[in-house]
Parts: sequence; structure tokens; C-alpha cells
Amino acid sequence: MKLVSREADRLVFKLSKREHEALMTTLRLAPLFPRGESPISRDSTKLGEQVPSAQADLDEALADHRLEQTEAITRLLTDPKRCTKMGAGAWKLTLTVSDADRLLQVLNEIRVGAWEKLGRPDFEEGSRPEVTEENFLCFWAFQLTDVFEGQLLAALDGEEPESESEGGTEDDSDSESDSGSGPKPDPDAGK
Amino acid sequence: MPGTIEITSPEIDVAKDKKSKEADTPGYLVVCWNDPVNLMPYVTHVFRTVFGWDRTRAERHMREVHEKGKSVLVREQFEKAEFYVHQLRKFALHATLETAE
Repeated sequence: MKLVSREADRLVFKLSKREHEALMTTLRLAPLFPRGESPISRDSTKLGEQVPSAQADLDEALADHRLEQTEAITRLLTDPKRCTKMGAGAWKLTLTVSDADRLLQVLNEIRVGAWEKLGRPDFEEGSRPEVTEENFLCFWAFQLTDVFEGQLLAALDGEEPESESEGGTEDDSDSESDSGSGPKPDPDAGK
Repeated sequence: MPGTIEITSPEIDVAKDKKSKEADTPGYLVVCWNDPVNLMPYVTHVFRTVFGWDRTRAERHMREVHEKGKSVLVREQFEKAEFYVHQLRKFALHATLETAE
């Protein structure tokens, strides 16, 4: 996935077929990683009687927000004017800055949800949960969201677009038989 | 002298004024806690988006979160502090509302 043009509020990305599949699959995994809520305060006793209503307001706001964001991204990625199949199996994705920010949030929700399901490991501290059949989708989503988020952040941060002929997105588009990227995730697994 | 104006100093109740200022002081902190999952550039991006900060300020707070475990982002009245916690949580950052004491 690479940024190929930037015009005013519009960011245009080119995705190879494999990247497009990976993005769509990652987004479909969202229901597998529901986020756990956490208290609005670490020391609720000091907030006193405001806590229950503040916590309820927060939980409701987050639930509504996640639903709205996911629906908006689903609409966007299934809109042929915004997500267009090009020659050789590649895809062109046109996002406004606000769409890019929304996609970033949705991907990050999946990333954090996958991490929570992995038991909240601290990779920096050397925690390395064993990859199992049950959790490999969590690792897969965790890694993929890292890649896509990095690209969106760079674009939102003002990264210069690459010309279409420059490297970055290898054209692996039509290689249906390509099995070099490991097992394909099954979105229904683990439900 | 023509046009002399008599000026009367207002009586100021110092104790009352101090109490009033204390009541007006925002007493709630929005704290962001470190986690090993959110990417550092993402955290910077969120701070810039939510608070409208420049990169330097956003990165300073991001580093504080990363290195010290937490950063007090703003001190506000309850409603505004609660609003910021909502915004940060919508980006999946671990933000909480605490009293300033």
C-alpha cells in the first residue's frame, strides 16, 4: 500500500491485490476481538458519585462510536468510486483525510483487541506468547494493523506520494497460487 | 483643582476571593497511561488531533507516557476533562480522569 497522490483533502493509495485482501480480511476480523472496557478512573473513590454515570456515558459513547466507524469504513471500502479495481489486480483507494483517520482508528481498535486477546503481552519487555492455532489470527491482525497504520500515519503526516512506477508495492496481484505469505486466515475461526 | 475625581478603593475580601478562585480552578486531570500496544507515532497523532497541539508538544507528552508510564495531558473542569477522556478512548488510548487534589 503506497500513497500515490495527494490533492487537497484527498489521499490516493495504491494497493496490490494481496494488500487489498489483507486489509479487507483484517477489517472482517474486528468482531473476533471485542474490546474490554476499562474504568474511567484509576482512583474512582475520589471522583465519588460522578463515577457510575460517567462510566456509563463513556461505555455508551465508545460502543456507538465503534459501530459508526466500522459501518462508515465498510461503506467506504465497498464504494466502487472510492475503492476501485485497477488493471493487474491492483486497487486504488481514495480517502479524505477524515476517512484516513477513521480507517486508522478502526485498524487500531482491531490491533488493541487482538493484543488484549493475546493476554496483553509486553513485546518490548520480551514477552513472547506461543503462536497456536487458537491465537494465530491475533498475531496476524496485530502485525497487519502495524503495517497499515504505519502507512496511513505517514500519509497523514505529510509523506510525499511515490510515483506509481517506484517500488514499494510489488505487483503480486494476479498470483492466485502464491502461497508464500503463509496460511490464509479464516475470519470465522475462533468464534 | 477642577475635575478632581474621588477614587474609592473597592473592599476586597481576600479570604472570599481565594475561596472563589479555588472553586474556579479546574480540578480534574486527563492522564494518559503507557501501554505496550499503541505505536508511538499513533499516540503523537492522537494528541495532535484531540488537543490540536503542535508536533513538539504532542511528542513531549508521548515520550513522557512511554518513559515515565504516564503523562498528565490537561487539567480541566469535570465536563471538559470527561470530554477529552472520551476522545482519547475513541482512539483506543488508555486515558483516565483523575482528581487533581
